[in-house]
Amino acid sequence: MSKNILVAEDSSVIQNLTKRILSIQNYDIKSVKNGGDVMKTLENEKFDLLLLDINMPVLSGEECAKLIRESENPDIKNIPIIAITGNAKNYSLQDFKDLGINDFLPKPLDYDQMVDMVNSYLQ
Amino acid sequence: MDILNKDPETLINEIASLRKQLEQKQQDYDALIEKTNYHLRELFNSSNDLIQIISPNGEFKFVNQAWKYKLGFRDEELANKKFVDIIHPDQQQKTLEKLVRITEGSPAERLDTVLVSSHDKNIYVSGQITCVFEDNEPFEYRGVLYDITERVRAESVQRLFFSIATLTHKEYNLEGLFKEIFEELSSHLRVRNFSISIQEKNSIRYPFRINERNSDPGEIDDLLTKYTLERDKPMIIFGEGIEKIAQQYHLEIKGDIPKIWLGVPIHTGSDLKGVMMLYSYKDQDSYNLKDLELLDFISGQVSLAIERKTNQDKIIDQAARLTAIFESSTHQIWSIDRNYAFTSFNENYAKSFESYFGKRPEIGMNLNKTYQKLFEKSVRDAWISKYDEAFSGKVLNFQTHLTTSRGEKVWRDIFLNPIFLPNGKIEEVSIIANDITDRKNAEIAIKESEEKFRNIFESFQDIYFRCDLTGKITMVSPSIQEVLGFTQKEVIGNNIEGFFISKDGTSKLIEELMKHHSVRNFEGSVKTKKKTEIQFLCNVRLIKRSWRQKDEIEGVARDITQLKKKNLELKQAKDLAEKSLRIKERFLANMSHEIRTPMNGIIGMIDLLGSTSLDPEQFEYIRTVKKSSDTLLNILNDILDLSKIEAGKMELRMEPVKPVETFEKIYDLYSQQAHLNKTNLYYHLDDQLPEYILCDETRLMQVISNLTSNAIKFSHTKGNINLSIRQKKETKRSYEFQVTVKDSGIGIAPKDQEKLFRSFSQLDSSKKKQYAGTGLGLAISKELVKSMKGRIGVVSTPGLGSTFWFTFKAGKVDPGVIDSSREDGSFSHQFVGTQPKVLLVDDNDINRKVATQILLKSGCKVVGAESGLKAIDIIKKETFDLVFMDIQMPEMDGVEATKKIKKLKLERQPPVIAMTAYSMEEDKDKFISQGLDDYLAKPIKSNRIIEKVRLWTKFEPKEVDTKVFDEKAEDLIINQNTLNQLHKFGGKELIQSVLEEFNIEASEQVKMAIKNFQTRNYEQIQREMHTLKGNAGTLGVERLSKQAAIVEKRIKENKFGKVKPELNKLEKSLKEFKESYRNLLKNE
Repeated sequence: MSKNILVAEDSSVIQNLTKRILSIQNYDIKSVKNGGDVMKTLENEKFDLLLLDINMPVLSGEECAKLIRESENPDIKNIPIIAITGNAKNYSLQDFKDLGINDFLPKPLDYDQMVDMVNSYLQ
Repeated sequence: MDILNKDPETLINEIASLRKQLEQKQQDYDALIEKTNYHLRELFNSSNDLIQIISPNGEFKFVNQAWKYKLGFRDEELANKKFVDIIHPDQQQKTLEKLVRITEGSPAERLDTVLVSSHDKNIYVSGQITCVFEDNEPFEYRGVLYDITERVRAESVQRLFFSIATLTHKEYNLEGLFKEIFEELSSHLRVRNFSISIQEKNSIRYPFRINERNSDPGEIDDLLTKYTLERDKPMIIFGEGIEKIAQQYHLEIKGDIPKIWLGVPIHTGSDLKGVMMLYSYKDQDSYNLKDLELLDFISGQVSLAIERKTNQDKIIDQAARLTAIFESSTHQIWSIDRNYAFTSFNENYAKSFESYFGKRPEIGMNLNKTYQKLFEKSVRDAWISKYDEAFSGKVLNFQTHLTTSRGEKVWRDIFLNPIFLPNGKIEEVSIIANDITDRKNAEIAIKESEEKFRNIFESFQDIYFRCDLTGKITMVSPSIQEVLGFTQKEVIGNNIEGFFISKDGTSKLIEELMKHHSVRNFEGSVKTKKKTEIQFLCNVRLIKRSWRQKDEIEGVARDITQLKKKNLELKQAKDLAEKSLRIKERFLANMSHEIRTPMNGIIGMIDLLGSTSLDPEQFEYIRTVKKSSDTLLNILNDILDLSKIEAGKMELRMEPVKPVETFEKIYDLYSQQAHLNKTNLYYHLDDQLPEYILCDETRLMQVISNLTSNAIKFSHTKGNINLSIRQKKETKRSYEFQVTVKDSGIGIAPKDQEKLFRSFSQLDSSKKKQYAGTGLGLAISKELVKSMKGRIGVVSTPGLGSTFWFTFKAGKVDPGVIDSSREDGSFSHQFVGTQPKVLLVDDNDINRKVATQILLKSGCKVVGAESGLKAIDIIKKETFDLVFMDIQMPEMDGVEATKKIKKLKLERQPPVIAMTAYSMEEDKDKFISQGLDDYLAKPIKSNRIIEKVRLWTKFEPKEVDTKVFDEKAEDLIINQNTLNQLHKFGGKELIQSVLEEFNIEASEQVKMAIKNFQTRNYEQIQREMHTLKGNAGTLGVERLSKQAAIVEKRIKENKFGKVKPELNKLEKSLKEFKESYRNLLKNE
């Protein structure tokens, strides 16, 4: 059974791009456009991985991560999170880890890096 | 009478008187009888007839004198014999029957019989026998017989003659003839011993021999044959005579000796000689002279018979032989009569005729009529005239050819012979023909070949000669006059050695010649008539002859004086050229070293200088210096490459290469330059492109780079340059690709297109050169493409642009090879400290300083060493992660120093990278084979040396900020490499859909930003710009991304006053993107 990935990204360009690239890798992709929708979707459906844009309207990526890790639902609490950020220079990996984020992909996205990283969490 | 009328008295008287008369008469009668008897006896005895009186019981009462003489019996012998005893046994019965018939009263019968004398000799008698009766009883037989032996004999001989004469005509078999003769002789002459001897060279042969004494060894036959032949006349020899002859011939006779021997010589017309002989062991009277005459006659007949027989045999033999010869002859033989009709022909002729004309000849077939169809009239007329000539008595011989019904040409050698009859007339002509087609063809071929060789010989430039084993010249080509000045006559007959100047080689030549029968490329010198010297090259061969002819030597000598001279000149020229080339090469190598070393210093220092703080004017100057030195380095590299190619020292280093990466690199290298030239660079990869190919990436990139940089150089502003690669062919082991570089530049006129690929040719050779460059690029590319087994070319329309293309072959890569090759170089990731520690060895202070500075700036720790020895000292004390080693150093060069370092077997052995200005590619292999780990060409460029650090230490060095020179001031409208990445994941479709979406979103974002700027909603702008920056960057829309980042930054810095111009730029960038995007769609 193919794994489910939730992509939280406000830019439809990136959303579409990630979806298409990862679909080719045989993943089922669902995407949301803002942080508010992330929690709702996670509560309704079980996902194997979350690709989380940090810079999002309604609820930022940082806030989302915090909520997820504080969740009572173990399926939500334990989901691996990969952050996508256009501000990578301002963060260290440790900063992300402190936020409960497993790994991060800097923008501009490197497709190979993205695919490799996703694979490493799901295979 | 009337006796009854007379008286008795008278009667009585008359009777008395009568008595008386009677008595008287009786007395007279008796007296008369007595007298008659005496006379008769006298008569009988004196008669030549044989008279005999025998009693009925066969006893002899009387035989006359002649009888006794003839039969040889005495009276007392006769007393005991009866008539039957002396009759020949063959005649006894017949004779007795005759006597019975006489006794029975048959009137006088004639008696013919044969009596046998006391000498056992046959006596033929004929006569009358009468029987005398008394008292009706046979009283005696009286016979008068005549001896008719001679007559019988004569008759017999006559018959013998006849029968022998007949025999000799009748009997063809000699032995049969002899047997018949013997039988005749035996019956007529009671011959029991008969021989015919023939004298041969040393012996005597007996074609016929009958002897009643089987024991007889034939010695007497031999003896008397010789004796008779010596005397050469008929001989009668008696027993005593034979003994005497035997004594005379010193022969001791062992067998019986014949009482009488008769022999006559036999002569035939030929040499054949012999003797016919007969003899008797019983009675020397068996034969007489008459028998000898008879024998002589027979011998004549026999001679004739033998001769005839021999002749006949000969004739039969001869005829058979002739027939055999006629038929078995491989020649075609036939004869014709005056009507030109066949009277005979042999089998070979018949066969040949059939093969020529498809039908067999027949006797009577007429040349004029019957087989007219077979010949053309001209041919027939020719033959008829030849036949007529022969009929006139001439013997003809000629060669002629005919065309067979199958169209083959047949040559025949023809002999026409008239056949003369005994009367001198000619009724027939015989013809003998021989098929000489093969010979003729061979002759023609030989003639042609002879002519050919004669021509060659006559027009021979070299000298052909022949001489015998003593060296005497027997033949020489006329060319000798031209070459040596001697005429043929002056040379032939002279000894060849006389013409040689040095005789040293000749004896060796002869020795070689005897051993190997031929000598090639013998060199020597001869003197000409004018006493000048000529160098020659000679091939000599020994001609082995048959026993009858002596061996000869033949040879061809070539005047190589000029050749030698030319050769010498050539060699000198070649030496000079090679020397020049070596000098040139050395010069180039030295130049490369000598120029690169200071260049190293210049470029390095410029790099460093560029990273210091400069005022704008200084910065501009430095930039110019940097540009110029880069150009100079490029020119230097071009020249070196070309000289390397021309020296044949260019070798391809085949390695697994990812063609996609190659194009990415090219793009990375030239996209900036293109941008500066305000042109767009795109590249398109074949969907089918294999992941790996086997090729020399450096050289491949060099060609593509060349074409690309040319395209950029010669393109108009706002032009497009499209690179593409397409797979043309795929075989089991290799690929063939075509790379195309299409520009929208100035284009090239057709007349100039061919000049393009020549060295140092730039089309614009005017003084005011608009375009920089050495003009070597395309020439180098052409050579490189050639070495990659490809072709290069251009299609161009002036004003519209050019399309340069080239093909190249690349090998397939075994996937196993890639994995292993990709995995090595996994060098320890651990550094000595937090930074990699590098030892830098270079005797040149400036170089050392440059490299040290670069390495320090990149974040390495650096220790310098000015010599190999120093380096060894240092490395013994300190631990390093990497060593850069200059190769050319005094005292101890880099290679030696490296070997010494490796020998130290350090606990932590750092890789050693050679640094040298010897930029020839093969140097790399040389250094690696000598223990160095890698190679870095001088001049040292900061990015290259850092790249080596990165590669060998896995340390991520800091970029040394030489940005100012890298002209990377702005970014691309759309980064082709990013698109290529996208292509990999989802093909064109993905690119299109993503870019389309981006186009919409970005347009919206830019619009919003401008709108928000008017409402001063800066925060919103910042957010939009942040997203745009990330998205554009992700999709490779770099200039827009960059510009978004600038706007974002300005807002972040609260420099709102500066936002507006940046937003304008942003709009412009978006417009550029849209343009590029449209162009992209168009080109896809």
